[in-house]
Amino acid sequence: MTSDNRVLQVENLTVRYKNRKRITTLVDDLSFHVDRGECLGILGESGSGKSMSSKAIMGILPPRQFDVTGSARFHTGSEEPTDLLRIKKEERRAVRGRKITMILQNPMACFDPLFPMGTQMAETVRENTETPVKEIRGLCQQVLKDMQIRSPEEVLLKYPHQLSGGMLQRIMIGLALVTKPDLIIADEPTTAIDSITQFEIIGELLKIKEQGTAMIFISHDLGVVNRMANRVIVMHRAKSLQQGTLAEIIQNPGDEYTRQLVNSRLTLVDQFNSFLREPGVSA
Amino acid sequence: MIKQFFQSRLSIACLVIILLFTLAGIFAPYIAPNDPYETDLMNKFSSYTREHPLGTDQLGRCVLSRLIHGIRPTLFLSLLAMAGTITLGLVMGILAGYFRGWVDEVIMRVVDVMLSFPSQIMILAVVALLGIDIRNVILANIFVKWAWYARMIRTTVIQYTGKNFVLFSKSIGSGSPYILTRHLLPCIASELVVLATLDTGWTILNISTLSFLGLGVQAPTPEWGAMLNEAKNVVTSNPGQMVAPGVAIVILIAAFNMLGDCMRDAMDPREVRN
Amino acid sequence: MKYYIIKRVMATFPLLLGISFLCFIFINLIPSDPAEVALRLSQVPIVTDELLAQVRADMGLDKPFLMRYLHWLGDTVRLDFGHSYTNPSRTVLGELARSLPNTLILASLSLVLVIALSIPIGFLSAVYKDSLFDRIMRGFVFMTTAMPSYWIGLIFMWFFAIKLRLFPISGNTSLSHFLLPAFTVALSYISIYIRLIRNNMLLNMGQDYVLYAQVRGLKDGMILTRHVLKNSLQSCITAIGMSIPQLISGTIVVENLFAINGLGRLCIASIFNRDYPVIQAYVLFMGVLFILFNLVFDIIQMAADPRLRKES
Ligand SMILES: Nc1ncnc2c1ncn2[C@@H]1O[C@H](COP(=O)(O)OP(=O)(O)OP(=O)(O)O)[C@@H](O)[C@H]1O
Ligand SMILES: [Mg+2]
Repeated sequence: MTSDNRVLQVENLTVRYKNRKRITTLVDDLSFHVDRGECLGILGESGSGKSMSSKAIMGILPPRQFDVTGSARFHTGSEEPTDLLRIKKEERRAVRGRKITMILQNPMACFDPLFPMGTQMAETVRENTETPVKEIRGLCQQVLKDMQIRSPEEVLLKYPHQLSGGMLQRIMIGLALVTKPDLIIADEPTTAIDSITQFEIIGELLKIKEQGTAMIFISHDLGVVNRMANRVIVMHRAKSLQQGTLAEIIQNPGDEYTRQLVNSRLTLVDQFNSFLREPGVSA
Repeated sequence: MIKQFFQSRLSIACLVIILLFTLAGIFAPYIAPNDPYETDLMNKFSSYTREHPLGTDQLGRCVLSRLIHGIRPTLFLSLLAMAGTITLGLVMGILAGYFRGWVDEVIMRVVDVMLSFPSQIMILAVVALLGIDIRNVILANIFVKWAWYARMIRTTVIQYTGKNFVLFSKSIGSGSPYILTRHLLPCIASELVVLATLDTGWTILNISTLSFLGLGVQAPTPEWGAMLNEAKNVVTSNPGQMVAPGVAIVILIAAFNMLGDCMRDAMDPREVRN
Repeated sequence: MKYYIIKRVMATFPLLLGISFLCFIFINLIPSDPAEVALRLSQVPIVTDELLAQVRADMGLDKPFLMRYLHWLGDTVRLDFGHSYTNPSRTVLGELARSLPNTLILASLSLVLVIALSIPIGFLSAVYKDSLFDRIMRGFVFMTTAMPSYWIGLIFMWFFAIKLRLFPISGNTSLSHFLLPAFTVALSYISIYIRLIRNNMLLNMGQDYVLYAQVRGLKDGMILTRHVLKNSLQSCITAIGMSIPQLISGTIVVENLFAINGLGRLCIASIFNRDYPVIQAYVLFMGVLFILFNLVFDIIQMAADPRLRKES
C-alpha cells in the first residue's frame, strides 16, 4: 500500500485514566491507518474503548484526567504530516472541525441546551468555513435539507430538547459534512435513527466516501459495518484483537472473542437479511 | 494515594484541635494561669509577659485566662445548641416520617414556614421576645435550625420504612420504637454527623456574633465574641486586643468546617467537590 | 409558563400568611400589655383598672384571637404598624423608611462587589482547576467561611481606617463611609458565590456538549464564556436570588460595627429598648422580602431556561 494516499496513521495509541489513586488503561497500544476514500470500521462490545480512541485522536480528552501516548500522524495536502497528539493548540483548531470532523455518540447531550439550533449551527459554520455572513443561514438550511429534515426554518429556531435524538444525530452528520473534511470519525452514527432513515444516512455517507473522504466508522452493527467498511478492527477490553477485511475476519477469526462476536452477530445478520428478503418488507 | 493520606491526616489534625480545645475548656480552672475576672487597673494593656502570656485587657485581666475560660460558653454552648437541634429535629422528623398522615402534614407545613424565613432574623426575633440572655440565644438557635434536620430525617425515614428489612421487622412484630432505633438510626447517622459537624461551626459563629452584638453572653463573663466587642471599643488605641480571640475563633470554626468537609468527601467520593 | 407562574405566585400566599401569623403571635407573646403602652403613649397620668379595661375594649383586645389577627392583618397590609414604644411621636413605618436607604446602599454595594469579584474568580478557578490561583482561592474561600464578619470588619477598620486613614472609621454621611462596611459584608458572602460558580462550571465542563463544541472547532475561550459560563450562571440564578435577602439581613453586624444607621442597627437598638412594634415590623419586612426574592428569581430562572420555558 502506498503512503501517498494515507490520511491518518495511528501508532501505539494508549489512553490511561488517572483517578485519585488508580490508573486504568482504557485504550492499550492501538495502531491502525486510514487511506483516502477508505472506510475503517471499528467493531467491539460496549466499553471496549472505541469512543475513547477516537476522542483521544480528536484531542478532546481533558489532559488533567487522561494520559494519552503514542502518535497519530495526520496527512493533509502535500505538507509534512502533523502528529495530532502533539500538535499546538492553534494548529489543532485549524484541523479540528475543518479537516477532521466527528459525529458523537449520544446526540441528545451534545448541544448546548440554552441556544437554539440555528445559533449553534451558525457558529460552527462561521468558525470553520469562509462563508459570508449573509449566506450562513441559507447554508444551515441547506444542511438540514440534505439530511432530509422537513421544515428547516422551524428546526433552526428550536432548542435541542425540542428535537428528537434522530434529528439531532442527522444535524451532527450534516455539520460533519459541511466543511468537506479529509477525515470523518463517525461514532455509532446510526444508533438513534430508525432503520429507514438509517438506510438513507448510510447512503449519504457512502457517497461522501466515494468522493474520497476517509472515514472511521464505529459500530456494533456488523451489517452496517459490512456495507460501509473496507477494513475492520475488532476491539476488546481496550485492545485491538484483529485487523483485516470483514470477510477475512469472518472466515478466520483469530481468537475466541472474535469468533463469538462473529457468530452471534452473523446469526443476527442472517435473520435480519432473511427478514428483509421476505416480500413486502423491503424498503 | 498521597491525597487520601493527606486528607485523613488533615481530619485527624482537625479532631486533635477540637479535642484540645474541649479539654482546655473542661479543665479551664486548672490550665488558666490567672483568674479571668481578676482586674488589675495598674497593669492594663500590658504586652506579653511570663505572668500574662497573651497580655492583659482594658481592665488588666489576663487575656489567655479569659480565652481559655471563654471556650466554655463558645464551644460548649454551641455543642449544647447542636444537641438540642438534633434531638428536636430527630423527634419531629421521625414523627412526621413514621406516622405520616396529618401529623406529617402539620409538621411539614411548620417546617416550610420556618425554612422560608432568614435564620438570622428569626434568631433575633426569638431573642427579642424572650429577652437578652445567653440561654435564649441557645433556644433561638435550636428553634431556627431544627427544621432542616426534621426535613432531612423525615425523607430518610420515609425512604427506609419502605425497604424490606423494616417491613420484615414489622411483620414479625417488633415494636415501632425498636424498629426505629435498631434500623433507622444507623442509616441516617453518617449523614447526620457530617451535617452536624458543619453546622457546629455555623453555630459557634452565630452565638459569638450575638455575644458580640451584646445579645448573648453578658459583660464580665469571658466569651470570645464578647471579648471582641470589648476590643472594638479600644480598636483605635490598642488594636492588639482583637488578635487573640479572633484567631482562636477562626481556628475552632475552621477545624469544624474542615472536619465536616473531610467526612463528606470520605462518604461521597465524587470528582467535583467544594 | 403562564400557568406555572400563576401556580408559583399562588403558592407564596400561604407562606406569607404563615409568616404574618408568626409575627402576630410574636407581638401577642411579648411581656407587655398593649393597652398599658397605649395609655402611656397618650400620657395619661393615673392608670386605673377601669381605664385599662376601657382602652382594651376600644382597641379590640377583648375580641377573640382570630378577629384580632384579621384586624391586625388589615392594618399591616395598609402598612400601618403603629407607633414606636420608645419614641411615641414616631410611627414604625417612618422609622423603617428612615433606615432603609442606608441598608439598601450598603447591601447593593456589597452585592455589586460580590458579583463583580466572584464570577471572574469562580470562572478562573474552574478553568485553571488545581493551579496555584485555584489553590489560593480555595484557601481564601475556606478562611473567609471560618472568619466572623465582625472580626473581618474590625481588622478592616483598624487597617484601612485607623492605620492607613484611607476611609472614615464610622458613620454614614458619605459614600466613602460605606466602602469598608460593604467590603466586609462582601467578604463574608463572596465565598458562597465563588464556590457555587466554580462547582457549577466544573460540572458543566464535564458535559458532552462541551466535547462536541470542541469537536465543532470552536475556540476554547468561546466555549468557556459563551456556553459553559452561561449554563453555570443559569443554574445559579435561584441561589443568587435567595442570598440577596440574606445579604440584606447580613448587614446587621456590620451596621452596628461601623455605626451605620440602617435597618440592622435599628433592629438591635429596638431589641435593647424592647421596642416591640419596630422589631415585629422588621421581622415581617425581612420575611416578606425573602419570599418575594425567592419567587422572583425562581421565575427568572425559569424564563432563562428554554427547557422549562416552553413546557406546559
Ligand atoms: N469520562 C470517563 N472517565 C473515565 N472513564 C471513562 C470515561 N468515559 C468512558 N470511560 C471508560 O472507558 C472505557 C471505554 O469507554 P468507551 O466510551 O470508549 O466505550 P465504547 O467502546 O465506545 O462503548 P460503547 O459501544 O458503549 O460506546 C469504559 O470502560 C468506560 O468505563
Ligand atoms: Mg462509544
